Amino acid sequence: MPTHIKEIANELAHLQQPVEFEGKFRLLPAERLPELQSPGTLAIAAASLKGNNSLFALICQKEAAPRFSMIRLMSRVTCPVMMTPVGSGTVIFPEDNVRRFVLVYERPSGTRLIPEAGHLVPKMDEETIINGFIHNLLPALRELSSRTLMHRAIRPENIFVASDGRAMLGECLSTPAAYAQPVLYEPIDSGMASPSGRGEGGVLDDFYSFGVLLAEVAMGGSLLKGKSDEEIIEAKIKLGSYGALVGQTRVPLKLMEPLRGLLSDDPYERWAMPDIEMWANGRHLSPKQVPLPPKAVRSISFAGKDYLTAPMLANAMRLNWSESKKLISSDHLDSWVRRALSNEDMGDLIVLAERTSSALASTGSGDDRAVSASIMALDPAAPIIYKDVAVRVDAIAQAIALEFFEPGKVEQFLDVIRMKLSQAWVTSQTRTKPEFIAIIKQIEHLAQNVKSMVPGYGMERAVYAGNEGWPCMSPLVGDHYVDDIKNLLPALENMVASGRIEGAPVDRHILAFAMNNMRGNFDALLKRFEDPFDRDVYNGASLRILADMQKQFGPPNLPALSAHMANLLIDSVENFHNTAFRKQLREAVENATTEGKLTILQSILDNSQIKDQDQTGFDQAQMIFSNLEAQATWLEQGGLVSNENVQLVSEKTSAVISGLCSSLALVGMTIAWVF
Amino acid sequence: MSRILLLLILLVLAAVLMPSAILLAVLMVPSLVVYVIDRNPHRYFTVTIGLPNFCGVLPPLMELWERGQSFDGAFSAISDPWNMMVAYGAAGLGWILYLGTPIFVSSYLSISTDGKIKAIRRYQDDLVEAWGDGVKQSVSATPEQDAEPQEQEVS
Repeated sequence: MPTHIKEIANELAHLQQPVEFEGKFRLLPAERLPELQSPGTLAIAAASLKGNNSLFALICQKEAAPRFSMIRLMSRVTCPVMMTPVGSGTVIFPEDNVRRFVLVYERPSGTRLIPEAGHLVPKMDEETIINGFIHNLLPALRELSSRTLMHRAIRPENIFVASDGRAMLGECLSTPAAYAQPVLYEPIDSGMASPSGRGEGGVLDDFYSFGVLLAEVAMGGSLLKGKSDEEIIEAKIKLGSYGALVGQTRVPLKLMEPLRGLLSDDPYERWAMPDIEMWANGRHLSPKQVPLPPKAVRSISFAGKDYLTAPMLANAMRLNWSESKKLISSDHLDSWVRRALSNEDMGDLIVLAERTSSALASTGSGDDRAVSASIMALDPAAPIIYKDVAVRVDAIAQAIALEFFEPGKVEQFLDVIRMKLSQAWVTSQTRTKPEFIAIIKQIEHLAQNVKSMVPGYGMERAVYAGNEGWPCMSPLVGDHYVDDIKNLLPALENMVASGRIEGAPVDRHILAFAMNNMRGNFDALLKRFEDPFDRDVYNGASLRILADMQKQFGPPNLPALSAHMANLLIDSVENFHNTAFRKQLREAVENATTEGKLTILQSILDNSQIKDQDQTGFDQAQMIFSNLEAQATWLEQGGLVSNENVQLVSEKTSAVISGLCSSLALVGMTIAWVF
Repeated sequence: MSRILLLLILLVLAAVLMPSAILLAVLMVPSLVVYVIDRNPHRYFTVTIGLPNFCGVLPPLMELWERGQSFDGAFSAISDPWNMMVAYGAAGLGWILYLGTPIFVSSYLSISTDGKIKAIRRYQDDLVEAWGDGVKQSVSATPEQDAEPQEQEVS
């Protein structure tokens, strides 16, 4: 198994109990099937509830998530010589209550061509190859080609061969496209890219892999055995893939044509479905020889070696980054390209790269960009190379997702996007392709997401916006495979209930994942997450986002999460001034917690309106208290019985009494006068 | 302007009712004196003296009018010691009232002070109970101590 893919079989040893899946299958984790295991998965037995027991399931890992969009498309394909899923989705295993992604397949009839990577491929005779491999696998290749689906996992250990010699393509969905492919089986540009940066690629990549497979079974053993990945790439660049893999070895005459056609390094010249079908039908073609890169009249010395071709130099520059910077800063490269290679266009592109480097000197990354752009000029077919990043132009989002937690990688990917290296790569291509428009659009979409680094956006958002169905990578969801936002809150509930979350159950990944799936504009709310050390604000905003999530996607009850949030925010209740209100709020929080309603909890704990009301009431109470205190002080200091006050009150009183008595006297006198 | 108008009306009335004016001028001397010495803008002292004084003047004034508003009638009423005694006596009662009221008012206010303080403290306790000790915080920033505070309704 490739070293970059994590082994999960041992981690999942505790899974034993059967579990029903999608109401159609029963998964039997106790029954392991290591012979059917794909890299980075655990193969277990499965049975259909209708009685078909010849099924197996692959439990996938979230670190190398399965190909979500391809699963949907592949499920519609029915082809007897290619494994296509009969079921897929997430399921909770009862032992640990963890949700995992599972792919269900019918068990293949044969055994693997080689049990695992590294074993020697058995040599086969011409007839077996033509009938058992080429003719037999044509329907699968035709299906893939006609639907523009990419298998990207054609390699000997993923080919099942029946006892009668008939081959079958193994599954290709459990890990990202070409993630487990050996460099040998990838076209030069894809091999130069890191496994995470190969991407879906195109149908022609599968034909190349098919060509390598045919070459290996035709010659037996292992091609370029003992050579490192870099040596394989170097050999392919130097001699061409056919030259490097087949070379002077005698291969069956009939197979020479398809091997030449399928192993062509020029995708425009490589055999595709019509060519191989024509060949299979007896119309023999002679594939065009792809010329090797032009040689310079004199070599250029770089990193202790001499190079005669531009792609060879570009490959060496990829592997010696700091040396490359020195080469760019000297004028040797430009003069070598113009004088020794006599390529003025390439020279102009290198000069342009140097100038851009000077313009970007203030950012500190100008030299790096110049190296990257120079490699593009020297070898336009190569992937985007930038420091440790080597990625095909359409695989940037996938590479970000797969290498997110690799130290320093995110910053480099951010540079790739911000320096518009993808656009530079497209511009450097000598031939334009219609898919470039879609690629540019995708890159611009990524650039939009990283424009703002506010939580909810940034590189985390690029992961989810650029990779449909990619599971939430937050450490807060633990091992739960959350590819659907409906499963996010249950996963958090489970994590909180098991005591594995102490602080706010929201981080940048959860926000980015949620923002990518939720309806509504949350930009104002996201600003509240900017300072993670302002716990009250952060926790309040977390509650708000979780409550909105519960409102939109359920589930209706989240008691553990509600209790956890109430616990985090209960201090805010204590911050209310009014004691009766505080008591009411405490009771309301208790009720909401018992019911597991985050929405109610949020309306209490993160409600600025009631906070304002409380503050206004408190301010008034303070004012009244202070006024009363002044009155009491005045009274205690004898203000009421002071001479002035007594005089004033007495004058008023005597005037009133005098008026009353005079009125009575007047009434009396009037009565006496009348009578 | 209005004062001048009032003075003019009074002068006209005095001219028309000269005997009555002479009678009032003589018998209401205490009120006139108080009016002069009273510095209170509300003229509580003047009211306290003037009203009983006028009640005392009213019987001879009525008698003068019944007799037909003559100077003789007016002078004879002025010269009657009984009328003089009644008018000045009534003014004297008003004076006694003015001088005696502070004794009672002072006693009443000193009794009510304790009650008022208790009511204020009760209200303050209610506020502390409802809003916590925080409401006391602004007390340190109480306005000038000598200034009479705004009257707060104490329930």
